[in-house]
Amino acid sequence: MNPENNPEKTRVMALKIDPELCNGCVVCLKACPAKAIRVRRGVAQILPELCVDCGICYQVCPQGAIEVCTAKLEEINRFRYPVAVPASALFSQFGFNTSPNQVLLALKQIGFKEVVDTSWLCEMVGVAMEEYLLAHPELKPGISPICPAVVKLITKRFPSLMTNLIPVLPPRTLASKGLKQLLAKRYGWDPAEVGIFFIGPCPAYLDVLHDPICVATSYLDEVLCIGEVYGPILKALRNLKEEEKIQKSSGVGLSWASLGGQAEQMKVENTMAAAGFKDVVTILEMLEAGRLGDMRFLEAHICSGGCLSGPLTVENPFRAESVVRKLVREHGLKSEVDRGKVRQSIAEGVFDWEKSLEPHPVRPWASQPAKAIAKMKAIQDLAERLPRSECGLCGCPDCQTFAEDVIMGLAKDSDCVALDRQRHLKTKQREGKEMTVKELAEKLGLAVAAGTGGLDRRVTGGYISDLLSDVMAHAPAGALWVTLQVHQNVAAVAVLKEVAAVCLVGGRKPLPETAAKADEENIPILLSPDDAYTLAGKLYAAGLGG
Amino acid sequence: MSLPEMDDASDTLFLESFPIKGSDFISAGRVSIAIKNLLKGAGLPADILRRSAIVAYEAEMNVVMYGGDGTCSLHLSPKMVRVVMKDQGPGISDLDLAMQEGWSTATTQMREMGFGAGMGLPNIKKNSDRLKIDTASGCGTTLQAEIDIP
Repeated sequence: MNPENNPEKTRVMALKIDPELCNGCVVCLKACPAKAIRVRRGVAQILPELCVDCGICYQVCPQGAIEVCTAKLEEINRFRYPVAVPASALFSQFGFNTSPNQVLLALKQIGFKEVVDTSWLCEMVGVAMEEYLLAHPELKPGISPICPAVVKLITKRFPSLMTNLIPVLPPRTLASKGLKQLLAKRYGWDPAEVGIFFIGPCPAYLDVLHDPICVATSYLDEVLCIGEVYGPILKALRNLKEEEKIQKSSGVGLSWASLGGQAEQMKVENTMAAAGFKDVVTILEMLEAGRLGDMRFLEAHICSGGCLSGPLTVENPFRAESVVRKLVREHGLKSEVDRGKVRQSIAEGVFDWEKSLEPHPVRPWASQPAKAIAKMKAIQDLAERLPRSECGLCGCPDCQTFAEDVIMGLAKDSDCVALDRQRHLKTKQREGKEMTVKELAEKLGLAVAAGTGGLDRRVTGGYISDLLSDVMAHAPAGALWVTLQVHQNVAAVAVLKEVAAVCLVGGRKPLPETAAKADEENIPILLSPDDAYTLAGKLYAAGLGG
Repeated sequence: MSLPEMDDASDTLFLESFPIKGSDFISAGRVSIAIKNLLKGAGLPADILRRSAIVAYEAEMNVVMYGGDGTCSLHLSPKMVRVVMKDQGPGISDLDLAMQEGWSTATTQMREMGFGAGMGLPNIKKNSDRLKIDTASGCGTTLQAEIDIP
């Protein structure tokens, strides 16, 4: 997948990797289902154009190096009248004995001047979506626009499916649209002093704050994550004054926190709920290929257990699911939403998107098919040379992605340790091949004092000794004999032992008789200015093992 | 009857082969999706993508349902998409009949899964610019479909 940035808009990332804490390991690199992470210069980086805000990297990082950039709770002090719009997932977080109403009251106690029961809006949006499906029987399926990460995924990777999205405002937008004006009327507040805070379970909402999907400018001012408000709410729940009834929703709206809550509500035939990046992509691919058949409604979430399993929640998702199940039983499935009123609002355009969706398709390999196809071939050729160990040491999640990055100019093929090792091994093999005396002399800069006729002899090793009897006993044939002895017997012994050559150390030169004998027998005498120890080190480095 | 040698090794810039296992319904469909994703990466027009995906899918499903094992190759040049599906299946005894819409040799199990409408080969023909099928009873089938890129 071409990770080149779409220049039209840079998205805002809710998850950032702290380079001080990141140790450049491969855990998030391999875990990212969108293959959106690369490790460069020992630090992991998230590629914004490929990131789908699932937050899996955040969940798996063993170093705790990924930080969340949603707002801090203190930000509510920036506004005289901070207002909370909590995702319904919030109600699943506080165990079996805390009612949604108590959670809403707790929010007021921690500083919010007003709180919206978003689950109630979920029920209304559900009715509006159902009405849309009934009015458009040809739509197969209508896709829920609730999960912003899925909507963005569709605009990037499946733009042909944008027309399947049900163009109804999601609960958070419906809740915040016109809210400031409403509160101004109700309480006489100055809208400029009202701050609307969405409290969400996942990283996707931060990008949506800056680049909203279905309205031009977001009606929300800030995004808090559930983790941020959890502690303060817990505290507030301990001494709560239950004076108001804020909650209006039934189990219908509350079930939206779970996977399948929306699909349950849709009273049309053949509804489907899918979750998790890979599985959602599979479903969308099937849909694009025309293979989803008679499906009328698709609820899709990037988070694998629906909203309550979002990475920025606190409660264990299975326990949160239990809580929602209990809440749904307690509150029943009889919704108080007046369908007639919803129909009227639909006619008035209350639920309408305010702008149409723009596609941001991930780019092909090149702007022209001919060039793109040539790049595909180059990628294929390189991929065939790779070891396919998928080790991640190059900084790419797998070998195929590495090949793509190299051809797109984002990585060098020398980044691959295995490719590099192959090159290194080949060099080593060349060096290990037996050298001739001439090659060795040239390599080490040794002068040839005599015996030039034997320069093409192969050198198989080395031997250092200045005791002729020792050389006679132990020097191997074909060795380079290193010695400081310069007298004639050296040449004699060298011949007898069939050494490849003699090297005199410490700047010594052979006596004339020695040189003459060496010439006669074609045994080269090399000269080194170094002492024997230093010379031996150089010989070893040149590949001449003992 | 053997297929004439495919011309143009020079024209085909990109070639990828995919093995297909007969009766492997779990994996069935993956090849056509992989082909579609490759063509998306090439930046081909949406219409070409759609037609190529249909051709690849129908041909792939035929191999899975009937064909024993097979290989699908995608040949790509700036002028053309070519899908070649070669299998070691039972072959098609009456090709003219098989090309008729509605004619199907699907088993009951296949129909229960939603296959066997008898539209596979006609769909391939409808969506390709050129189609060559080389087959005989007991001899396997080679199908070559080409879609021109404008």
